[in-house]
Amino acid sequence: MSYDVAGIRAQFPTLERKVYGTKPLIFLDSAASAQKPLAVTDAMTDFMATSYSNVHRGVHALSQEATDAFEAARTKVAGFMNAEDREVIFTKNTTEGINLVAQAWGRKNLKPGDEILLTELEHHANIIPWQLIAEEVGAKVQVIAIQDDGALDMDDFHAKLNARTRMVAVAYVSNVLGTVLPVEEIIAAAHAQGALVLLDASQAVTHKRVDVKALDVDFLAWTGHKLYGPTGIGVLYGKYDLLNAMPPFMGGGDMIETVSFTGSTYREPPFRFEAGTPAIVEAVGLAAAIDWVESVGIDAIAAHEADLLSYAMERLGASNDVQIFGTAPGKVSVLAFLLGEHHAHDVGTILDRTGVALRVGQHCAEPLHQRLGVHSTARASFAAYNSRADVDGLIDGLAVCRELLG
Amino acid sequence: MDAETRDLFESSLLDLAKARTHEGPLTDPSGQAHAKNPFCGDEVTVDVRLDAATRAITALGYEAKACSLCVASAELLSGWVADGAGTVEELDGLLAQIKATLGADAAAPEGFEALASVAPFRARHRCVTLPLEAACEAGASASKDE
Repeated sequence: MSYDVAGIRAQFPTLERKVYGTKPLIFLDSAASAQKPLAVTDAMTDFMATSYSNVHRGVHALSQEATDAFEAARTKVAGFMNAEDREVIFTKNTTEGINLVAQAWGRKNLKPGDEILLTELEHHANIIPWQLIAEEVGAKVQVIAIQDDGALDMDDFHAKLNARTRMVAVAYVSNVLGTVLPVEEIIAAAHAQGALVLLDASQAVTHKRVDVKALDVDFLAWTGHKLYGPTGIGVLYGKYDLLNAMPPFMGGGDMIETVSFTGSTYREPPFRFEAGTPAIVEAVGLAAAIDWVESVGIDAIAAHEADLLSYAMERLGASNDVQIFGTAPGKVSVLAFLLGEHHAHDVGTILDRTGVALRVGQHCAEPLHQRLGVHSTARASFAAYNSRADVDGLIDGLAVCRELLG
Repeated sequence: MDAETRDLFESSLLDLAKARTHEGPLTDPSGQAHAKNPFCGDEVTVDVRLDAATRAITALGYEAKACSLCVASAELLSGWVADGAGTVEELDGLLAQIKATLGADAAAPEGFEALASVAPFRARHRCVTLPLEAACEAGASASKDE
């Protein structure tokens, strides 16, 4: 069956709107946050209108219904990445998931002289939490280099992985370059050295099927809003034995067994790591988003995005004045570029006025931009609802940039 | 293309940014400050030299890794200083006036008229104010050191 992009677009009301009065919106900023299908907004609205209550703490009917919906969302998420329910922690976003591991696992397990291995292409969310814990415990952050095409330098990885390495924390997919890292090789090598692996899968879950058991990954964090779900809900996967050996990250209601002023005890995972009232409505929305993705098919979405990326690279690459960053084989539909000598912000401002929404700046990846030798880039990202016409709109917009910027 | 965008990119700002006439650090500045916009990564370092008696800014230098609007703003500021400018306090007043211009609440100060074309582009306001913020901070640090 062919990919019905028109039918998919019809499920995203935002894509029908115009900006600046008359310009049809061309949304190429899904790597920052994806638009939401009606299936998600309807599910959240219906839940709030009919079944909303707090969870895990009421004896009344609504609380039970809400608890059932919330825990069903956990089961949905677990199935989506082939995990067990008890291995799924609901967080606020990817950032919180990584901070949770860095603090709860790191404080207990990292010692002076231990090493944490990151890469040059990380999002700040997978740099800062490790710098904070490293400074706190006296551990050291090591950085794996990338090659000029954006691929990870695996020789450098193997050279820097050693007996002092306790954690390898890397992106599954680069949010700037679209590079898909060879995570199977990384995980196998890290485990052989006795190190654990955390994957920042924020950009991965939207483009490819993620199977935590097949990967044998120790921790994996992602966020709902990039997967066509709402903001305010993220997911941390952790192997149960690892989670069960970790102390709480935050304290409060719902994560305790007993509380007294002489000492308190804590629940088992995942509840140990979900202090306070969770993002209940957002969990329902995330479950609806997963249903929506599965209804289209993650493989079908990936194939469609690969076609758009190929078309965009071909059209952008045909211009001598466009520099594309990230050309590693197998990359996903995230396309960073510069137009001539023009600053990305000027390009982004003009494109915006033509209706094209994309991201400009450093995309929370300042060290990567230093490595690329550029101050900033423009980034177009393609999702399930984009079409070749959107790519054409970008190309037309760049022509306007050339006219105005000279 | 709409008139606002044409006004912005057909103003003198792009030419100022391309020329970068005044770019460069001062030797022996009285004060220096670095400002960064974490939203986009733009960075500017501003040096000022003050007349100790009058607190007048006698020279200003800057270095920028920044967009055209930020550099153009730094160029206009450099021109303001080169033209006789004013004191640290007047620089603070200039920043306030330019913020009001960007908010479409006031006319642009003399010599800074081109910045009015940035007003409709809210996401770019900080590009314009960044060098002025750095200059004010540099002026304040110079005053402290006196």
